[in-house]
Amino acid sequence: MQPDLLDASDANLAFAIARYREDALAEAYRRHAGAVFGLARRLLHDRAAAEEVVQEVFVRLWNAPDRFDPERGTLRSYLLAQAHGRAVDQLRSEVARRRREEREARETAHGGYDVEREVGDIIVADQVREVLGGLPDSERRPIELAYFRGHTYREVATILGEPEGTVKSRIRSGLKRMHSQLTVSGLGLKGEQP
Amino acid sequence: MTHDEIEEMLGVYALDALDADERQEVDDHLASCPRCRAELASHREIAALLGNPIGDAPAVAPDDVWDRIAASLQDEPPALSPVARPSLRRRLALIVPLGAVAAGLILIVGLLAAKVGNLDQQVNSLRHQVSVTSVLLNPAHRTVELTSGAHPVWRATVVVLPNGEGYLINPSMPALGSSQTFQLWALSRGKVVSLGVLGSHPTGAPIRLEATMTLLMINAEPLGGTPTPTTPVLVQGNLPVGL
Repeated sequence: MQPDLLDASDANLAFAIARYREDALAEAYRRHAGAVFGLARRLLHDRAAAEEVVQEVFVRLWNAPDRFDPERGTLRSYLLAQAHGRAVDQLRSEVARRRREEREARETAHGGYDVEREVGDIIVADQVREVLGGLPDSERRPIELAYFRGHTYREVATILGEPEGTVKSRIRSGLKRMHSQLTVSGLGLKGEQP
Repeated sequence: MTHDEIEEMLGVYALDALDADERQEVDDHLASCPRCRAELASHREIAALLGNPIGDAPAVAPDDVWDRIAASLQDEPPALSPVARPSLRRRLALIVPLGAVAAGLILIVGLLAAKVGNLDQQVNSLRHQVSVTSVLLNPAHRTVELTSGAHPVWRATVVVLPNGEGYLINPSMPALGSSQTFQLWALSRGKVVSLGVLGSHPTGAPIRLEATMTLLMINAEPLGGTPTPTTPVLVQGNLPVGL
């Protein structure tokens, strides 16, 4: 690896990747693959499937480096969003869906789902966890079920016994609330407050 | 769906919790609605924070996954091919007149002679010079000179094809600190838009121009770039009409 990459910004790494520099992709992998793997494994509960997601996400970064727009957020955010989308697609495939339903049925038999505890297991930054935990239940639960369980909002509506429209708007208002609270608490967010 | 209905879906969309058919509808709307794109970007940021294990013990991706990735990259087309992948690595399909070939060869030799670095860099810059040279060899290319108004006189040249594909060449720019990068801006419909960061050695940086752009500017920004300019323009130049 050339020394210029070790402290290169994400944007410059992406630029070097666009110039076919494999060492730049390796550096991006070194920085972010752990987080990508962690999220995929958290969603899929399956190490091999999570590894596959990691591989897909980084090969895609190599093949289409300009899909990452440094003005819209960090490289890590971009990679995590890619990983989440892919993991959720896998979850929604038929076989995976059946496996998940069986697992959730087992969990229900052992005292119902407890997403809050599971969210605690994944090491989210304290601030983010705190802000999520501080949301009204009506906003927090649909966000958790959708993001950490990979449910569609329609499924979330069924699980919570709420109208679909209500779930949609509570997820949106919850995300907005988190954004403004994290901005107030000084976390450097790029996006404007919607 | 109306704008308001789409807007209501943006949070769900950012969490990947829409059904595929609805996702398509939102995608179609996003292509033409900057306001919804901005809101979505903000939701996505929160989603990424939820998924981000910043903290004491982030998971470690196994090394053999990297080995598999690296192995699959070698299946890609040969690195030196100037017929690149889309966008940043734009496909070049050019019919070149014979006289221009001779001129081009002289130019390639000149460009190569001007840039002798270590071997690895040579491979990278050769690959890039092939692309730059292809643009220069195309008779339809236009040249845009960017200069500073006053002393010291800084310069850079942009060569661009009618399809908007271009490169920055021959920059004569100030040396930057290690925490800075050059960033390219354009004036488009009265607004300043970023065309991306160029790094501290912008020779051969690929550029994508659009017909609405009338002025190009370069300044120095913190590494990673900024959404709007925060320092004075170093060089600028007007784009020809009807590019």
